[in-house]
Amino acid sequence: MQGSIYTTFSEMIIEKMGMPVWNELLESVALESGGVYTSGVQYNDSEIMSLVSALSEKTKIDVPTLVKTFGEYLFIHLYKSSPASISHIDNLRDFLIAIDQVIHKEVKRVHPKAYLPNFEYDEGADNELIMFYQSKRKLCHLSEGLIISAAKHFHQKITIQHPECMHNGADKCKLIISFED
Amino acid sequence: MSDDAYKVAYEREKKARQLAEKLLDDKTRELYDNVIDLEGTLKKLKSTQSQLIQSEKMASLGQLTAGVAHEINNPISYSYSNLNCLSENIEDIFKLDQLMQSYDENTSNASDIIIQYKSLRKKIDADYLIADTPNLLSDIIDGIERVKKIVNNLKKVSYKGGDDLIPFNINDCIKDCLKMLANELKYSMEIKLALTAYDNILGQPSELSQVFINLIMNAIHACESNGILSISTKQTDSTVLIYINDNGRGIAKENISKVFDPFYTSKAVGEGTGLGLPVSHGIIEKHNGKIEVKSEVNVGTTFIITLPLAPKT
Repeated sequence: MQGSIYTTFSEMIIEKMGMPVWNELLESVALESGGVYTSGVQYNDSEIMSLVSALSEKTKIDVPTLVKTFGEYLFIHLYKSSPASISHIDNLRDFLIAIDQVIHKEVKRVHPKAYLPNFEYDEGADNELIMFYQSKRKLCHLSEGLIISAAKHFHQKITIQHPECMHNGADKCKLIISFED
Repeated sequence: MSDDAYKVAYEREKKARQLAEKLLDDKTRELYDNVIDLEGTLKKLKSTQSQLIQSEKMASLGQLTAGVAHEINNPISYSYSNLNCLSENIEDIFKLDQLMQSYDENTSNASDIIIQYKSLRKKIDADYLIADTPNLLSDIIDGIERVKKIVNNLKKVSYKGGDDLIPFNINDCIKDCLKMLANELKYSMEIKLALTAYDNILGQPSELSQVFINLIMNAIHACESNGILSISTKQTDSTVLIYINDNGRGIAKENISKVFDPFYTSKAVGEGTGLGLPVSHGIIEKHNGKIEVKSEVNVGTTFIITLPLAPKT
């Protein structure tokens, strides 16, 4: 997984819980990297999974909720570091539709080796957008967090339903995003 | 140092790191865009190079056109003339048939028709026509065969193949080129061949033909009269060596290093593209071989081509 995800994760822990907690987490998990993260490097996926599990144990908050919360934090960092070419997108729906074709293409420009999830779209009912998420990492809860934070950025009230999930054996996760006026 | 001081220091370092990361991202994006541009340029360059090789080949073939036209014209002319003869002969033979068709068993006299038949037969000299027809046909077939061979040779050297290398005998390739150039060579050059390489090389016959035609045409242009073109091949453990030598005017020492430069030509404007030798050089390099030149003014020039042998299966 891309190093920028790890650096942002460390920032979130340090900001929300303090440096000692981050140090404690790093010490509690045997990490190949030793917890030394830099944005341009790819690290083993297992490191983030181990860190989140350790955090879950420490905070007694379940893993999906933690991952979702991290998604919300991560969006702010990702959006800030995104190129100017996506800044013309001014609403959530267009932004979400642009993820697969525009935003992921931009990510590949910076990190050609990055593994990215696949998104498919369906229109659904009025004021709805259905997104199908598929990834070997099954980080659908991270996607939920990212969408929630994106909605806040675009001042759009939404609700998300997640009726089909890869964690429950589905091929892909179905995320129904309902846009409220 | 207080905890706050550490915190302030951390925040400062964090900002510096984020700045460095942003810088890295921007540079990486620039680099990525440049790579995409370069890939596009490389693709265009490869396509242009391939077009250049084909254009040069066509230019070489253009020089051969007059010779090829002459080579084709001769057999076509006598085949055409024989066909005219044959056509007249057949008309006469048909007259005999028409005569026999006019015979009516009920009204005609059999002996009369035989007399008429013999008379017409004599008139058209049927014995000669019958004896001449196989010769006429054989000459026509021979003429058409010759044209077919010339066209096949032309196709062999002008064919723009793919990139696949195939095993083939270099001596056959040289002989095909000499056949193609027969008309250019027959009045101007004495040819001496010593083709002793026996194993196959791996390559594209049409591309190597282009090289040989270039070198032989250069040799013809370098010799005014009493030209001698000597071509020999020999084999080492892993390579085939091809020597193409002429006794022409040679290349001055100061020009030898330029002969493989694009657009360098010693020929008059409009006579040489200046691409023959550079393209030949490119083709030989593509075949993992090398091409060298040795020359002495008023003594002659030798091109030495080394090509790797095809791996033995």
